[in-house]
Amino acid sequence: MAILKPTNIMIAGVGGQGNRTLMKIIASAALEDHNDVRVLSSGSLGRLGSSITCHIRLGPSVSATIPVGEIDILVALEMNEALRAIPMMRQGSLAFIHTHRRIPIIAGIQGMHYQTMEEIENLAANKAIKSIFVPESLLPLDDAVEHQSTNSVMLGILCSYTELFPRPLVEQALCQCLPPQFTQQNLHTFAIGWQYREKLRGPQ
Amino acid sequence: MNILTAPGKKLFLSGDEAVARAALEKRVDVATGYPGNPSTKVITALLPISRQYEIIVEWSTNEKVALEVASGAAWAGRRSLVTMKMSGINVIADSLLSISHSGVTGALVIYAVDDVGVYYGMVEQDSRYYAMLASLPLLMPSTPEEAYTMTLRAFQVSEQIGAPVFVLSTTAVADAITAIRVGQIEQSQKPTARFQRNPAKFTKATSQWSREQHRDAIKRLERAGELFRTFPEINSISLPPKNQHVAASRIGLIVAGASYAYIQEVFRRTPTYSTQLALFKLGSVYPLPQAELHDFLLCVDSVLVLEELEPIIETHILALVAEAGLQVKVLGKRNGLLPRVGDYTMELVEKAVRVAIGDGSSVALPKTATTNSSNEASNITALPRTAEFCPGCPHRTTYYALQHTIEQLGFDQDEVIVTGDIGCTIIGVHSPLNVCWTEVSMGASIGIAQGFKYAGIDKPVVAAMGDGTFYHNGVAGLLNAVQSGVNLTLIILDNSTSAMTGLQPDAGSGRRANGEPSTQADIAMIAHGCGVTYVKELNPYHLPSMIEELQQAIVYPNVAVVIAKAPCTTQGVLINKQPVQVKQDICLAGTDCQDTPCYSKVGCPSVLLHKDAVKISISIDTSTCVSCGLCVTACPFGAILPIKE
Repeated sequence: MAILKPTNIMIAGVGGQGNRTLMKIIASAALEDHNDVRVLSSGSLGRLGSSITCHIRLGPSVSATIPVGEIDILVALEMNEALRAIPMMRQGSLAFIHTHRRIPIIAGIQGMHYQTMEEIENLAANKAIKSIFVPESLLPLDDAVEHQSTNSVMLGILCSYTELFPRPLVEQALCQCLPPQFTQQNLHTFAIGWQYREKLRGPQ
Repeated sequence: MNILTAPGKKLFLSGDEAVARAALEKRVDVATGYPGNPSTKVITALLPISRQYEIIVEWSTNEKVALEVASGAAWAGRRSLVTMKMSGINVIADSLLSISHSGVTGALVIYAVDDVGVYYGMVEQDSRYYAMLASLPLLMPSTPEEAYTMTLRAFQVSEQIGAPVFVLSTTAVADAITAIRVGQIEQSQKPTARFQRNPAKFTKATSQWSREQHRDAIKRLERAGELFRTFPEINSISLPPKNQHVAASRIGLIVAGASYAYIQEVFRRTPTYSTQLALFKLGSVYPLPQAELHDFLLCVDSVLVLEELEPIIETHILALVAEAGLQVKVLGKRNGLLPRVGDYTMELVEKAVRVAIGDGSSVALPKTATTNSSNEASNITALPRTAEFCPGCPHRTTYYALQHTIEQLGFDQDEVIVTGDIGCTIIGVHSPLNVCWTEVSMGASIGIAQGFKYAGIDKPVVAAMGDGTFYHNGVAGLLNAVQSGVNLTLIILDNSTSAMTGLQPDAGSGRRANGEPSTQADIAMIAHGCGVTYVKELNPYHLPSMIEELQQAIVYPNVAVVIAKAPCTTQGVLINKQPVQVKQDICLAGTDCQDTPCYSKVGCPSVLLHKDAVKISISIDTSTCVSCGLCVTACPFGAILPIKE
């Protein structure tokens, strides 16, 4: 089922959170779903705690870089990193923001203010962006810390909420993109993310 | 399943990997390179299939050696590929000109990537100048698909005319990934390696030979230009429908590189532009298709030149206009419309087009093009995030020891210049270590340090570089410093790998790129061989010994070398057997311990600071901590202790 309308997804996070893996899984699912896909992720210092942004363009495109103001969906694996992407988002777009906080060492030493959820939500609201904050408590501590599964839980939430791809196709892409020893764990956290949609629906 | 040989007619490849696939299809014999993003993925992609397809693939000691190895193979009739980031082009320049003038007998493709927009660090440069300098044919892709097709053509042209061919990409193309329709992998028909003795072609031993080689290089360049004209996918012209073109006062675009992808995006959004504008897409940037450009210029009254960085094509266009006596207005950088700094974007290209067609008199173009920063006025901005040493990194401990050494010798940190170098070691420039003062190029820290001493800096001067940097280009600097007789200290932070670019092996790793064991270089012996009389190798985690040795090295009257040797910690292996944690009943963070040195002096991502309205606390992220013990040492209250079973 090809996506009819071109869709631009940006992943924002910190090195080591599996940003590029998440990008590859989404791209792989899109390819299987017969979509044109272009992706781009630059910056070699991600591993060393720097910011990472990944551009994913579903549908016909020539350049992999998402034009400014044309991000349709943001997936932020770290809360502060959402702030880097919001200026590039489309009016009325959608942001999935994980509330995990990784305070940059320089910011911690200098006592800089780490923006609150409310501040980020207000900034997003200025562009009519719908922000969906994903609490860290969604994952059991072992899953979040030991298995570093933030990316797969966000994948579950993204795919169930937007219905971009059929679930089996995403699970297949996840298995293709991860080493075999990590697939069961990530399928488990992906399912937690997928089910979170029901909770989101509740109060709406 | 290997990404280059996966089944199917389309493969999901980055620009770098597309180059690797094209080289594989052409059955490249030798592929060499030096790790440096955004070009690293070519060699990385070829390595896993090197045995299967009988390709010799290596990470060379530096880019110049990589070029020379690839050239030697090409002189013996083989097909070769050499890869590097833009900084590497500067390193190879001497051999590049010489080899270009000699030509090749097999095929040699030089693939480099300009990091336009500086996503990976180092100098933002326009390496197209090297093609002109060396009389090298140059192809410039606008997408990963073109990186693939142009590399195929580059091998073909190189073999056909006997010249090295330069494929120059940019980060936006090299890092982009998309599904690319690929061809068949050729059957390998390896000729017997043969090198015909011909000093007039392969040496510069007489002036006449050198002049003749220069002339031959220019002839090959002209032949390359003729061949490029026969490939419709390299350069293309699209003219708007005639009646509309006349009505639209004849405006043209000349576009190269990633800008071509952006202009296509602009045309998709505003299809009327494509009916108003004549478009010349340039894939062969050197030599330029002069005759076709001349004919194109005859069709327009004004032309907008879209190329990132320097106005190279634009200057050629201006020369063509002047030579032909045309009345064509040229828009680009020279008239101040477009910036020379940073990477272009679709928005910038769209604005420039609007100006060109007279629809954008009020459009303001930035002086610096860049995509990666917030462009909205807001009081809320993201926190700055710089690269940090990984948990337990031995470099952190070495610099921590150096800070203490400087203090114990009675100096302020601002009195002792520490020249830094390329690679992970430069992260010492950032807070909280703030150790490194300068960064120039691979191995330059020692020459710069010697210069400071020559200038009369009377306080100690220390140079710091990694092992890969030392092998790459540091040895010559060390020899020079020893010969000069100055007093300086060189610290070599030896983790026996090229860590920053992805743990590629170097001369001291004891393994080749394909994993086979190899001879292991010995830095201490090299230093001794250079004439250094004070050489110490020690484990940086033994902090008291490090401080003591560094003190002795710094006061030593000649060049002293300290090798801080410990493996890279990215693999997460515990350094000490027991992990550590903060004993909260001992920790006085926020009360009697206001500056929390375990956090603010160490700067380790595994040491976490928690602040709320009531209190400050510290904890250790045991999932990432490798138990190096530096925070344990830094804590004045003994509050960080091994976790008991």
